[in-house]
Amino acid sequence: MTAEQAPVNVTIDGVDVAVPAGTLIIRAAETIGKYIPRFCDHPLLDPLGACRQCLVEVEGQRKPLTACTTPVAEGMVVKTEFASDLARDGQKGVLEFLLINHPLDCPMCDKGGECPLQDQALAYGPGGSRYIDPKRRFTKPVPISPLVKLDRERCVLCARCTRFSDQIAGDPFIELFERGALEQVAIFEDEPYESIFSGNVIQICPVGALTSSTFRFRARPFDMTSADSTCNRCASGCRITAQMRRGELVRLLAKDDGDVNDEWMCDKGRFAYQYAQRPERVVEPLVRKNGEFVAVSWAEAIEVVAGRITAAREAGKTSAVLAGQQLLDEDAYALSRFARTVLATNDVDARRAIGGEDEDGVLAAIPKTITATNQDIDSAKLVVTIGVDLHEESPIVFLRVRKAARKGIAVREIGARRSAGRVQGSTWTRCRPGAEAALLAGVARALESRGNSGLDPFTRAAMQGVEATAEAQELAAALQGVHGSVVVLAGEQLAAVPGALGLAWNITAAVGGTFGWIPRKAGARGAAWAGLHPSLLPGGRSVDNDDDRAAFGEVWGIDPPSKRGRDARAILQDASGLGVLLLAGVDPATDFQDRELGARGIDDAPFVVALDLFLTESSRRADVVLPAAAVYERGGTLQNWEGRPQPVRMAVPPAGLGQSDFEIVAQIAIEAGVQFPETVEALRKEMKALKVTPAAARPVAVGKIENAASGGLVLATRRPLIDDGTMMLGADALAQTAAPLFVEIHPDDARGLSNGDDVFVRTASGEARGPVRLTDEVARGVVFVPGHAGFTGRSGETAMVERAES
Amino acid sequence: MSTSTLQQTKVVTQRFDTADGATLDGYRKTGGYEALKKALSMTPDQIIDIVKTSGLRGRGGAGFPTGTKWSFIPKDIRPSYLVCNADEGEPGTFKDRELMERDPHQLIEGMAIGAYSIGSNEMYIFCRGEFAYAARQLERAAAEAYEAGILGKNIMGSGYDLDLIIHRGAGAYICGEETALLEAIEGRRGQPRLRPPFPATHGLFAKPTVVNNVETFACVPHIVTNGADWFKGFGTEKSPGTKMFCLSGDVERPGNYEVPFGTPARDLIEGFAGGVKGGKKLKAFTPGGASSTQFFGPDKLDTNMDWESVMAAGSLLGTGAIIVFAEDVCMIRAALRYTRFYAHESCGKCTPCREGTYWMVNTLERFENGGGRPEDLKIMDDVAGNIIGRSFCALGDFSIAPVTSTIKLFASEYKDHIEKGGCPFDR
Repeated sequence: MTAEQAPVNVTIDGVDVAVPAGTLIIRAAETIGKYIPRFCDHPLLDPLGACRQCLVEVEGQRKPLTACTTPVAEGMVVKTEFASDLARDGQKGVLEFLLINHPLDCPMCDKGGECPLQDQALAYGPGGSRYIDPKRRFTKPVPISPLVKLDRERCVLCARCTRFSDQIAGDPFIELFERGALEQVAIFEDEPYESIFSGNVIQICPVGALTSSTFRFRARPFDMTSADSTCNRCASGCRITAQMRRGELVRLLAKDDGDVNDEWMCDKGRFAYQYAQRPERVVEPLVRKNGEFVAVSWAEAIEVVAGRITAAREAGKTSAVLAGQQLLDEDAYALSRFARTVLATNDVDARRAIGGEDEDGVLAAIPKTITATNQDIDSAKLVVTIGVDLHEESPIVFLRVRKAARKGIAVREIGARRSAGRVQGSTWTRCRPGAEAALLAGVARALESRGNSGLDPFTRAAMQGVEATAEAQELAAALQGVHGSVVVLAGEQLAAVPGALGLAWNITAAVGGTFGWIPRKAGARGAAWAGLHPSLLPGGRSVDNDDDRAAFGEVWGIDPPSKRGRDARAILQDASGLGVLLLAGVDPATDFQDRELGARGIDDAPFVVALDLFLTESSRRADVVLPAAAVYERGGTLQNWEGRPQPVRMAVPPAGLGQSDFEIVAQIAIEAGVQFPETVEALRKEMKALKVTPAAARPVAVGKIENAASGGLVLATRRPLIDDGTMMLGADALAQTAAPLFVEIHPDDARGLSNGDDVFVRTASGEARGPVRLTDEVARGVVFVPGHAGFTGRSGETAMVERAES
Repeated sequence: MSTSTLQQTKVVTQRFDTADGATLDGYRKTGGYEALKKALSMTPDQIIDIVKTSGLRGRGGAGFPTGTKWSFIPKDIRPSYLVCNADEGEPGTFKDRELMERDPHQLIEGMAIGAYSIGSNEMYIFCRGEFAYAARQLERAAAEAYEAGILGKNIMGSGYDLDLIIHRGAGAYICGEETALLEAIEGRRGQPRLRPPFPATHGLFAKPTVVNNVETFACVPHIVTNGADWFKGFGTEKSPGTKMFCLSGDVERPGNYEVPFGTPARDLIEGFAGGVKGGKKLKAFTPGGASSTQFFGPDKLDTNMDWESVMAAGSLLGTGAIIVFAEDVCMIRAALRYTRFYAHESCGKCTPCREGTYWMVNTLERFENGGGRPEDLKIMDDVAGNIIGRSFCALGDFSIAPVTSTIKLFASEYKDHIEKGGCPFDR
């Protein structure tokens, strides 16, 4: 922002209005409720002036001007179509032109009913056409990707799609081709249009030219009901609109929210919704009888579970809760409370991998600390990402960062591999997996030698004996140079490297920056807040701390247990001694970092209750499976990576007899004779009472950092956005956009391999086979393999790459 | 009138008659690069003053004062660029092509003087893709100039560095529009840019840029050598200097003729070009290429060919391309040929030009094929009215001229087409 500029006074249709200098006429008119028709104009795209639909009269100008490209000037007198024949005639003429080659196939067009061209024609168009000659014809529809189909005859060539791809997403290969009336949107013959944001081009298309392969011919806009909600596919927390036809979810749209997702969402959020409507859903309570699942009533199932809990308690056996990270805030809190008050245990965890003591420190701190927001990214001078590939892990945060970079904000990526998402002018600090903590300790040392006095004792201890490498020096210079205007975004992979997450947290504070935790899953921050963690209670309170625990007596009527619980790994390792193991929205046999341990633990546990949508590798091993409602089937709150609480609304009724996790555990608690909130309102009242006011960051303990393995090749891996997870069920078109497995190495590490060679990659915990790509976008000494399609290797493991013998 | 009484005034075409005018040696023998040498001893502002005083106006069609354009370049933003628009695509216009083929050094010298006066170290020639020979001539001349130290580092020992890049177009008329031309040089699709900002501040690579036509640059060495007053000695007060007129169509001797501004059209058509082919009567002519806003009939033959007189007569001088139509030409077919050109060359960016030209072509085709209706004249007039002033760039504005001109001048021919169920000239 430049210095405060005086507003500009203009008159629009006789109404005086003052707007900021530089405001376009079309926006200024909106402020007084005048809607000037437009097709190419889009407030989030650069002005183009192509469609000419927004012509207005400006006093003193001979010709009508396009309101979408003309900024206001002091004293300007504008007349829109409501007040000017010139504007009205101009708009009429343009509309007539747009319709001469339009197929006018509204009755069979998906856009019919929500189409700006149709609306405009209805409002201002003539009853018939003066054009009698043949219309331009094209083959249609043309798939431009598995998700998007193009009808060039309907296209008005507004270039919104091509500008979105260029300006917002940064994905090339959808372009305008040819000239004149043959101008058309197209893709290159030899370069596929690959974008994880492709659905947005459908949503912003002002006509029915771009349609969705999953929604085509499924419903009319006026036959659908809508519910505003929040996407739960990652921690970005996009606001969405869910649309239903006859009780069936048929479409998700991005909702306009400038604070969170502008009006974008990623393809996973948009297209992977069919899973909840699959016949594989568990739709009634199942209890194992004589080794087989038998459908029972809710009453019977609750009675069975409550009975086992009571029995275990009486026998002095500990029970445990493992929860997923896609739960709504209310459900996460209910489970945490259930563990503490009904099972009387701190054996509760929502993590899929267990980090070091610094992870505990950061998770405890997050609910009580002022952490980064989207607005901090907007106003930062420098954004640093570490241990996260925003493009794959939180795509809308990626768009936010990209937007900031377009305005000139510096972006730095620290990692083993360059993100596939292109950010203008971003720099990349190479770091081998496992070396992050050492790099950051070096940064701390370099900061100290630059005179930074904000370093805490934990960090000072950790940096002892660490040399600041050239990369560390450079990073320290960059951080110190923008002191106070830096946002550090750290991903969950960082927690796997002892000390790294804690150092990132502490160093951010030392340079006056703001820390943002970008977990992979939508409910991770809610789970941290709820205390789905063996040493944490809701609000970042500690089980070890008497004062912290005391806060609960009043709210719960029961003090939480004071003994620190066991983490997920320890629970699974020693499952045979458990009373009841409750799984809520989690599939340890598939998702736990050590999936064999996950499966073994469930097998070993004497009694397993699973709250789930499906019979997964884990729930199929359970003794009782209770049908949980999917996210679109219940209401609640979901806090995104920023900690911003956002409403989730019930869009469709639960499949079968499904209920929310909260409803299920509340009934079990009551059946077991333990007081528990019976309504979601009562539950929220408790959550509100336990709220903590966030304060400035305090340093966390770092612990001992380890030297990363040197020499040889090290694996870097990360689950891609479009993966093969359970919630991709039924999203067949989306699945076609998933990248097949590949193996990336730096050309210096090629050792005789050429691009495309078929290779094996082997690490201690996984192996993969795929074509090799030689690229300088991975660091030297690193092998990158995407973590899906059966590949289970872990970042930081030593990797062997060898040619596969055919 | 006989040609013996008519003499061309050869300034920019003076070397066309010499055998080796296109070579560096031949160019130098006839005073070539003396103007640049002189310019390099002057201050940039002195040169801009001379060009301003000379009254030189752009020869690409719009006639904007060249010195004024150069003076718009901010002195504190670097780099700046100088670009020559050699994408000569206007139907009936072929003067720049001949200037590049027959005297490429003259263009390079004019550009070098321009570049020096705006403080640019990098010049581009955007040469129409189809002009293979012209491009080769330019490349050859540029190589000679580099070799001789006229381009490159420290040109002519002045301490001033200057590079020239010859960029060949890919065959799009729209790239003659200067912002589309800049887009194309930058490697993008040739489509016009939003203005403001104008090229003077945000041109090539978003830096200050001057774009001038080939013929404009060709005038510059002569102005620097002979002075502004000498230049003003030719032509009229508002249109000083000489102009190459391109005579084509139904004339005996088509070709380029350089004469002072203000020469009557009759001298050019009946004199230099030898009159209408085969002794036929003149039906119409364009005073300034296809993009003249109005075709002229025989009654305008005595119009003086300068900016102000042509405008007063109701049209535009444009590029100075005079296309002559004999009495037996079907003007509807002529309008169709022109309009097809515009429909084909419309870049597609804006609705009125893209759809309007398409509509007009289809209607005119219908007239030729016997499907014309009386109401079509009114509809075409409306279509034209909805294009002009509403298009993104001038291509759309000019695209209506063949239709509106012929409706105005030759309404009876349209009527004939309707009544006779097709083109009467075919029978």
